[in-house]
Amino acid sequence: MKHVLELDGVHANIGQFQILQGVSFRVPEHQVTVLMGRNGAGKTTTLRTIMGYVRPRAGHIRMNGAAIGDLSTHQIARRGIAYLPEENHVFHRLTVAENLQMADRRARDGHHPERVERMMDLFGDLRRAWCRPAGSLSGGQKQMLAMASALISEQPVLLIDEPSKGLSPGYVHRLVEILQGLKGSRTVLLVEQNVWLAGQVADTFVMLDDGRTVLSGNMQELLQREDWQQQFLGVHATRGER
Amino acid sequence: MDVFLTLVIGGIGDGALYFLIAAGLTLIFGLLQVINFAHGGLYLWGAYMATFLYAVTHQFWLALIVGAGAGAVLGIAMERGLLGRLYHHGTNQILITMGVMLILSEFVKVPFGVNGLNAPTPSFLSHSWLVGHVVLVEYQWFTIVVGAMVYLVLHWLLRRTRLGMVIRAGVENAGLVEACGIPIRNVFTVVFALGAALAGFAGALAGPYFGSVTPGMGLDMQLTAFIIVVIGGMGSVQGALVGSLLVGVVTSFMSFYFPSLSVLVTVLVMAVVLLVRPQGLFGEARAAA
Repeated sequence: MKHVLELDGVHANIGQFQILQGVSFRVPEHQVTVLMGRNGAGKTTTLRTIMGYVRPRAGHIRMNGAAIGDLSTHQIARRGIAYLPEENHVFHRLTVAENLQMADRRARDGHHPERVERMMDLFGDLRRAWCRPAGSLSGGQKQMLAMASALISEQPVLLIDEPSKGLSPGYVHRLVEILQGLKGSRTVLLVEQNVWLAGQVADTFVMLDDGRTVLSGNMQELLQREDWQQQFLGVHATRGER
Repeated sequence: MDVFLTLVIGGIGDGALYFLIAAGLTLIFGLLQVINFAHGGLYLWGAYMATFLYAVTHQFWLALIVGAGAGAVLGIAMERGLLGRLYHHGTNQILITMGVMLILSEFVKVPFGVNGLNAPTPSFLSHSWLVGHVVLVEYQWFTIVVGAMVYLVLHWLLRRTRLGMVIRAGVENAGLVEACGIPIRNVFTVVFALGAALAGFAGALAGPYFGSVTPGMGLDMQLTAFIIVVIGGMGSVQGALVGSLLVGVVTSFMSFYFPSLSVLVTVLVMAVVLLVRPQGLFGEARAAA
């Protein structure tokens, strides 16, 4: 199995705080890998370090075998990684149309109506809000716009940080459908606290605790191991954590 | 009524000139979060370079281009050489840009002397007309038209081009722009150069407008531009336009009726705006990057 992303002993600081203290895992191609752990375990920092917002102090980050740890964020994005941060994932003052144009780097060559149309088919809400500022959308619509922005670029790798946070059940189910639809064509590294959602979409998991990788493996295995969930997440998926 | 009209037209003329420098300052702040206290220095050098060149060549249009170019070159050197290392270091930025402002103000005396230079109006723009009892000065109207054209071009650039869209996105969330694969650092340089060029261009226009250029003109204009940007809302070009016209007209009336209170009233207007709307007339609360 080919691994698209590899992290090997990554350490990273934010200010004087040592957040990542040895994160190592591999993300298989065309699968959904979920990054889990309690609040403060280092999940978001891991994504931000992969994206170059945080410089790794030690360790290696590779994409398709090539080191990307020293690259700047825009260079990493150009290597083929789309990133959806947990918050501020859309440009609020730009219209829905402009948000998609920003995300679609190839749009500078001209408009690509077929890609835009695909997004409109996938996210019907956005068609109606085409000329509205993104800031006027509901939380769920913003999340869908962020997802559409990530997808329109057709980047092979997606890093998605807690997409279900604050969403209504209807949007969460929509999100699950979209993420399931990505399997087989995109490689996804997903940060998600919702064990039910993770169980619905993820093939593999990586568990972080106190800035270190403590477990990794098949998602189904995690769903069956209540002791792991209790120890590292403080929840039981089988009791309906939705 | 004639006095009123004369003061309004004079205020709009001053406002057009203020707008050119305030627009650059607000663009730079909006995207880079840099309060550029050296902006007045770029205006000063634009003014001197254009005045000197016009004196030597009598080529007014060339002088305007060279004034804008001088601002842009100094701006790029400043951004690449100094400020690029100090993004997100607010206090250091203020100290550095203030230092650069003093250096630019003092250094201009080396080639051009301490007494300033006369800056004659080009003959083809030196007419004036009497309409009723109102004097219409051609160069003043020229400045107003240029200010309006620059506003329209900036509006087109920001609203109708991809670069403008990237700048607006960068003002809101520079980190997310990078995640789109766009090197925001290069966009920073472009915006800084554009803002600096506008300052230099304003300086080039200001020489004939005021009749002379002096080493102190940069510091004077810096204060006015800063007040305008705060009133209009930091980062808003539309705010810079409205703020410039407001300050221009208020200053015009105060200078006529209560000259000693002119600066005080301008600062009071800023204070009132800040009390009622802390982000300025057209400013918006910023999203965290």
